Amino acid sequence: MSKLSGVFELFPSLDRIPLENITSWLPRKVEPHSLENFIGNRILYPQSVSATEEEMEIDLALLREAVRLQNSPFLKKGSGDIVIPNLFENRFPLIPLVWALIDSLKLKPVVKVLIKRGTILQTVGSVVSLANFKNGETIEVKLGEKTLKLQEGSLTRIPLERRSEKIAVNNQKFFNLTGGRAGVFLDLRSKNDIER
Amino acid sequence: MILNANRRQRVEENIITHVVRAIAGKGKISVKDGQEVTPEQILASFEMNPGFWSIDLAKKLKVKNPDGEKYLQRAIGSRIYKGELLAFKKELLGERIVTSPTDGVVDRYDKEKGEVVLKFFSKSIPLTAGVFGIVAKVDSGRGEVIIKTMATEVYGVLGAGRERGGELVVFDHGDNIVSKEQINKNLERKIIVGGAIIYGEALKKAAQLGVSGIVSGGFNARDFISMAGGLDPNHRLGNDPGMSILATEGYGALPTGEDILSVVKGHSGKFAFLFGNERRLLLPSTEADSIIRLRKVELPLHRWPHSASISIGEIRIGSRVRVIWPPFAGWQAKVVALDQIPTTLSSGISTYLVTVETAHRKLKVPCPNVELI
Repeated sequence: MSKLSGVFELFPSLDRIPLENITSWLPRKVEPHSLENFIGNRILYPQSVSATEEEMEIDLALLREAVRLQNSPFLKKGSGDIVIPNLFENRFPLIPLVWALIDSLKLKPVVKVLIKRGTILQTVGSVVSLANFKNGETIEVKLGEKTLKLQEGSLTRIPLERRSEKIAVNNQKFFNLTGGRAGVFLDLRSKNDIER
Repeated sequence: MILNANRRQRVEENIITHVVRAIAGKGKISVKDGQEVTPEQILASFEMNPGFWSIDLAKKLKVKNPDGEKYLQRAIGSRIYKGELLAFKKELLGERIVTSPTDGVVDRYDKEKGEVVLKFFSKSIPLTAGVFGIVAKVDSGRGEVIIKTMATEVYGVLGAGRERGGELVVFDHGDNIVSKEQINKNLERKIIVGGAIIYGEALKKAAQLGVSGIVSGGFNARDFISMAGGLDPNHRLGNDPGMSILATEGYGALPTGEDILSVVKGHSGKFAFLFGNERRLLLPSTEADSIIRLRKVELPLHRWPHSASISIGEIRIGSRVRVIWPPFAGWQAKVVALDQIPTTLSSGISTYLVTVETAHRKLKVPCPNVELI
């Protein structure tokens, strides 16, 4: 008999994620017993949605840890692009969702962010990992007419609705990036910056 | 715009099922296959040994451990009653007397420890049917009587523990915390229903006092994990924590649903069966006429147990729903309006809201956060 389901049903080991892994992502303190009850009810009622900002923070932290354990639905073979199933697009706000996936996935230096609706893939943005390009503490990035100085260890999002834009890093490396609703993410964090 | 929600079966009335009544010690079953039984009918009697009591006899008589047996005044295997002379030693300036602290049988003398062990008298305990039904099978080897009966099934969302039977004790309010103080000896071998939550200390006390089972709106996840072995009911280990438990709503303090409480209240004081690992509570029919229907129905002995069905249903004006997510989780209400355009919640998600009405207020809830009753 069919029933309404939810994104977290794709992760069968939610109950095995250590609590401290989840709390490390949270900007506000959550009592451990409340967090355990929250996760338990997500497992019981996977079709339910977060109504408040605080609940969404927990959902995104849970997603980060669940994806770390099992990242296969999100990476396209070959290109390594991030592929977001439609189910996730309806369940999370887009920009925090992309942010969470960047935190959890092992990405190639330049990848697109795609949303999959049936057989159609729509590009909604790009992610560039610039950790290998740092020159001292800041690097200079030129995106169209904008010039940005980014700090080492930062993750920055730049709105970019245009389909394609050139990006220059320290006037040395050049990429063509695709924009969209999510924009462009420039990740200057090393692996240690992301891991706890 | 069609809005859908899960419809989870919570109560199933007048089903025909089997219950197993088992003796807990050596005994004799006095019913036969095909026999019709009533709740107070005795199916079997069995001997139950309540245990042993050790007395450090050598120490009391001030003799070496192996020598204590010489001073016993009752033979091994003989009966003795509380206060009667158990051992006696004459001394130069007096005597040492040891009397029995309890009724029992002098079971043995342990020469190494210098202790005499008294075995309490066995008790003969009757096993009643507890239900109106027809005996489907007597298994003397396992000491079991399987009875076909008519019953109402109540399904929960998480549970632990093997099948246990007991008299149902229903707390008046389904939304209170069941405290440790409310758990007392009078609840031994009973099934408690009601309350929004019962915490770890009260659960432990209940298990120690021999409460058969507890049905609550919710449990704290940490308490449930310590009893069931895991959080995900789909990864059940089939544990038996010494007592059966069932939550009707989920994790946390959630009021027992009115749909379940109203059914269970009608069964208060009567016999019920709690299958924690299967997440169900069985309320046998209290009508003698149910036997008439049972005579007409054949039920194979080996079949899968009942489980709650979940299907998709359309949310309509007038539908009864149960809110499954905070801040109104556990509330039951009637749908009075359906939004035609989506709303963006403070979480950033865009979804349709439904307006529901309880006895006291109206509220708007995201439609994924309700289930149809």
